[in-house]
Amino acid sequence: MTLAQADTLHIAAAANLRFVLPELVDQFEQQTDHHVSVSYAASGTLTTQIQHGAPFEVFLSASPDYIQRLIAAKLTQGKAINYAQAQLALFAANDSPLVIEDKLHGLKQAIEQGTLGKIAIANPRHAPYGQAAESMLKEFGLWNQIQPYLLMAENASQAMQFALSTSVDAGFVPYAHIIQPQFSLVGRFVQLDVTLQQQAIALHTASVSSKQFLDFIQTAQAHELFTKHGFLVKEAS
Amino acid sequence: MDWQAFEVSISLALLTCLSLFPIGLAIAYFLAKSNFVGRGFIEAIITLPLVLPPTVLGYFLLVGMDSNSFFGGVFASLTGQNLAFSFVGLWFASIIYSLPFAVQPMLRSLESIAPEIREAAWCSGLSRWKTFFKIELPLAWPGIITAMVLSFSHTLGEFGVVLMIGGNIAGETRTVSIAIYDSVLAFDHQQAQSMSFILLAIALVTITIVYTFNRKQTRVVAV
Repeated sequence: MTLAQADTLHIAAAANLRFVLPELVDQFEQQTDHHVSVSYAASGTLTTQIQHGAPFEVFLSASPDYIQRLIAAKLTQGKAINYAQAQLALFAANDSPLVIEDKLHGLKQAIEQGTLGKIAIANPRHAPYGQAAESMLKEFGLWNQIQPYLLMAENASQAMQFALSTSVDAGFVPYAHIIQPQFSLVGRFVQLDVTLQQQAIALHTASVSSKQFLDFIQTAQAHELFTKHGFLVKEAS
Repeated sequence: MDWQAFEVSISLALLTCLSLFPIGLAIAYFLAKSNFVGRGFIEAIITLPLVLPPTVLGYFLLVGMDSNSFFGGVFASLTGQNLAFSFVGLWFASIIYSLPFAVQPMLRSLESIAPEIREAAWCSGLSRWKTFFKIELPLAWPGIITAMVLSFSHTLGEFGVVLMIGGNIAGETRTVSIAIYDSVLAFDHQQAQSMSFILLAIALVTITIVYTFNRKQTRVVAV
């Protein structure tokens, strides 16, 4: 038994697509007759669900690693598509005392002075944004010292949620989230020098509409939306 | 407002409580009648979902419903559908999850029927089945109503298990509690708030029904 429409295209999408994807879906639905339903979660969580038989047809991942895992498990069809690059950012709510800049000096200083509060990151065990934050903190030699201050969120959107709280000093969050006025007006942020390759693939259950959707996200029209939402898009040469 | 989520939740809760009527009653009747050594163990197994973290139950269900597992495989070969991340899978999970809420009240009310009443029925020439339908069932009715209402509202409030085996698919496995969680993650506090208030109201009304009904019933019995 199912209550959903039969011709619905089910998409599993990384949490950082929360703001851009509804607009893409709107346009796609207008241009085709398909109905699209999106489930958002951390890419790792979605991968586990797909491996256990979740009926998604398209997977939009925030990291190529998970796509590779599904290809290895023979759960996909066709080639993976690099449709955009996402960016990591550091966000602090207006009442946070933390100095926010892209070399993480403020963070380092606060750790050394013992004045650091909680820092929200997505869980690196299954969230690409958490992995990106982890590798950056390791690069700056802060990963071990920051451990007691870390607040693990389920996915990148929840890390944003936590970062907005007055009891959290800052959060490693999607750049695509903080440029939304509802966040940029209530805090300070800096874009970090870390990009995440966004990859999409059709899953083994995919129908014709999935192919259409994957074609659609590579059009100039879709690229414009991605750019507007803070993603980087390489135009096909 | 995500009315589709309400549709999923209410269908799920209704189907679960309707399925638990015969299942729960059969188990409760069997337990009320028997007094064997392993009875405590059987009762413990039925009560387990009440004390287990939903993650434990969710994990076992996720693994068990996988089409590579025995149970999930049999279901998939029979129906051609995957049990995990489907509405039917949630229905199955909810029956297990809400089982103690159905069995316990039914069992208590069946046990509270004095054996003399049953014996008197038999002496009057009623068969076991007739005794059950004409005497025991009407006397156990308050317990059965309580069981139905509790399993309905408990299924409506289910979260952890659905999070693990549902996959948040609109119209299929996105129940109200999941939709609320999703709205919060989508920074849509307005929707989360209104849906939460509706769920709160439903919960309050159903529990009030149970208590009012039970009090009336005890008074009647006392008279």
